[in-house]
Amino acid sequence: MLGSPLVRAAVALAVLLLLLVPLRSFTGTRPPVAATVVAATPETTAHLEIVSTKSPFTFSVGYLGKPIWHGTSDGPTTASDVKLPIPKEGIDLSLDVGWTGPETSAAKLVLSHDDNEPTERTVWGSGQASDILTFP
Amino acid sequence: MKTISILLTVAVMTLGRSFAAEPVKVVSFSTILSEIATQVGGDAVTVVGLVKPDVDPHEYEPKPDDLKQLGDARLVLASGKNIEHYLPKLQAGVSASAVIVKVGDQIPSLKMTEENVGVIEDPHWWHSVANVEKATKVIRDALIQVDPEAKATFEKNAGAYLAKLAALDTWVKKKVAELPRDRRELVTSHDAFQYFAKQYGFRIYAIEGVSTEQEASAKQVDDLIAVIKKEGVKAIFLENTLNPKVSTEITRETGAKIGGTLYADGLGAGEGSTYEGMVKHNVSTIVEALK
Repeated sequence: MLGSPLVRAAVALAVLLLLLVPLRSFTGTRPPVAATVVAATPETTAHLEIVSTKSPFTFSVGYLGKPIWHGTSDGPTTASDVKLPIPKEGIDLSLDVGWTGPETSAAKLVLSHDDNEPTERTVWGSGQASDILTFP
Repeated sequence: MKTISILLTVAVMTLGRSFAAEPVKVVSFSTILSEIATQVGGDAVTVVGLVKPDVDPHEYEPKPDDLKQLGDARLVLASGKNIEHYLPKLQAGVSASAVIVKVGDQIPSLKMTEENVGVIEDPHWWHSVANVEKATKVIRDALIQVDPEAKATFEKNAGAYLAKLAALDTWVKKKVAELPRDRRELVTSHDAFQYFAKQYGFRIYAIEGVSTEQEASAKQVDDLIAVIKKEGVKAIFLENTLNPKVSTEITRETGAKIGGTLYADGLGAGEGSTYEGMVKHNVSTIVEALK
């Protein structure tokens, strides 16, 4: 009975059909998987302070290419609180400062947030200074 | 008598000038070095680039014609850090008076561990603009060594090119600052962007190792897929000289998108035909895809 050509053909067909399953999983196109969404870093209150060697001065602080605090200070120091997401990798802030007169001046940007120690970065320039400052 | 002496002086000066005015032949094994040599050398040099744009320097093999070009070169520029594995064999064909400079060897190296190879120097130093500034100074000094008469030209041209590079570096910093530091995760076809990552605060996950000659194992690909899913990496980047098959498969497994094609191993066609164009293309592509 097992030697019957009909049975042998049926068995061969069944084996071939079974082989198609793994073959399809190797070669078939699967629907794309949706990307994992990782939660964004929550915002925190950050205290920013600018200390300049010369006043008055104009200033602009930016984050992600947009200004978050700008103005003119008549004195050597100015400060403000802003809401910022500060991930563990740190944050880049742009600082643009302008002074009257061509002599070399400096401005320090100090960032304090949560319980972290304040960190500071300085820019130097004649008449104006501009840089991207990385805070850990 | 006085007239003859004046004529002789003029003749000697003219001959001297014409000899000095003979451009220095520079042969380069890197598209980036070819550009720097052209910019710094100006009319005082003729630059022959043996590795052409869009050619993978890891897999480049010199041809007999290349040996001919090396024969009368006065300055040979190699990228260094062992990327030109064929260089020792070629040195016999270089004139004894020629100066050979492995430019990258004068730039501090990032060390990397390559599977089945061990610790190696990362040869892709040009992805940091600061490193290209160093390379410009190395090439300026090498040209002055070969042709001291043209020192003023080389210094002036190098100064102009360095000013362009400084402006480019400022542009890169501003562009990268548009991306939060926790989103600076770069998945690339091979591990070519570590110098860029170090300078601008990115983390790199590469499918292949430092060299494109070594293909990624199934385990490496699986590990990478797991990291991309865990970190929620938004985009994977292709390279102008590599096959995109594995990268494309990974996007299907992870849901990350193809962020674009980067120039990893040197200059290429289109926007990447100049160093400034290459950097601006790469940085814009990365930042816009990961935003």
